[in-house]
Amino acid sequence: MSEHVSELQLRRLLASEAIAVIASEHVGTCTECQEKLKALNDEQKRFEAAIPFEKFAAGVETKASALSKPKPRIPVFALAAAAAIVIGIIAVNMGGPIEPTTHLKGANEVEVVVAPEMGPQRVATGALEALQPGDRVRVGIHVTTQQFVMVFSIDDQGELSTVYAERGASVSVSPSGGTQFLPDSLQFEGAGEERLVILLSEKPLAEEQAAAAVKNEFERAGKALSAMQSLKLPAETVYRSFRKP
Amino acid sequence: MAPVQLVPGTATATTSRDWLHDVYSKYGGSVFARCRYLLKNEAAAEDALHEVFARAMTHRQGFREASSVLTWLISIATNHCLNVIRSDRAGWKAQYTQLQVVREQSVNDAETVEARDFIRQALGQFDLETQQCVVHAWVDEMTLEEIGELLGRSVPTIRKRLQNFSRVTGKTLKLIGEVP
Repeated sequence: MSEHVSELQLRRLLASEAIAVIASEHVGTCTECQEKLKALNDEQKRFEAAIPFEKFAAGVETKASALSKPKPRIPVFALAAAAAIVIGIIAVNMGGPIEPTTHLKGANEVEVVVAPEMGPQRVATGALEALQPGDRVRVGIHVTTQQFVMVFSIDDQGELSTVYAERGASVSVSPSGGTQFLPDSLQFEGAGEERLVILLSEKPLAEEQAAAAVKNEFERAGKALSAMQSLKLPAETVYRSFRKP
Repeated sequence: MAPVQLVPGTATATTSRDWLHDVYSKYGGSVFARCRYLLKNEAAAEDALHEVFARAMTHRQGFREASSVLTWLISIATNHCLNVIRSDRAGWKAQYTQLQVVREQSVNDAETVEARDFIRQALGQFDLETQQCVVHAWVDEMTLEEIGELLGRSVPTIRKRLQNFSRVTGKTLKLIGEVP
């Protein structure tokens, strides 16, 4: 191996993570890499001296507590790091058979799960899912080729919310070998029914155009969420319906 | 009021001192180094450190399934710090003025430190994705393939972002390192 091992690989080695055998062997014989490894080890020691564990843990727990409080609005955020955030979901085409996982073109799948405050998670099927107070909903996608996803939520009054989009367009989802859960979870407010609209496409959709398509379909269905069908978009449409507590 | 809201994490996320101690010992120094590098402020870096591990704690499923936990944490830290900087654009200037305050306790030689200082100062001219590409390529020394997988982008896209960074900054690739 002619090149030195990257800094990230050395950090992984220091953290006892597996790296390529050839890289590991190189470190064993390379003085320069060994010195850098020692410097990284010293860096960890300086960190522990500067921020003792108790202080670290208290800070993290404070932040985690703040994160668990509901946010006042719907954030629209990037999925840049979502490749590493794996989730499982179930989604079902309304009007189709009721099943936990929606199988789409190209072996892509959508799955939606409901996480209660206490107890095990359950998979949302195509039937109307009755939510309990504190229930959270998570969306998971398994793709075999790069796809783009956009998620809306529409209630029985026709109020539409964008749940997952990035800078006015779909967010990219790359194959990861498993189901990827979109970041964070959903919590519905108010009463009545709510429907998640999950759009999976080969090319990114424009949020404005997709939102208009959802509203048009709601109107076409006579403002009945359960009567909504696939949208007139170059995307596969997956619905999930919930009755809010 | 909006009928739906996103809340971070899952309902089953719990605090675990054992888990925290494990990640503190393995990854704390690396994550803190990334936060210090980008934010150039000890207090801000420590705040970011707490934020990153709090997010990791509430997304333990992803934590368990990540092929490299370190890469995952570094990605979260990088993204968080870049967003902190972007949300307080005026802060860039203030952060640069503190270069003398927060000196690198670098594990690298002077030339590498100088190149990375240049990279950090130039980041503000670019979009978030380019910033992520640049940091992962020339600080983490990740390959184009690794960056592409991390960011969900193709290798040509990553290469294009890096080449654009080099072109706009007017720096030769030799100075900041060849596009990997």
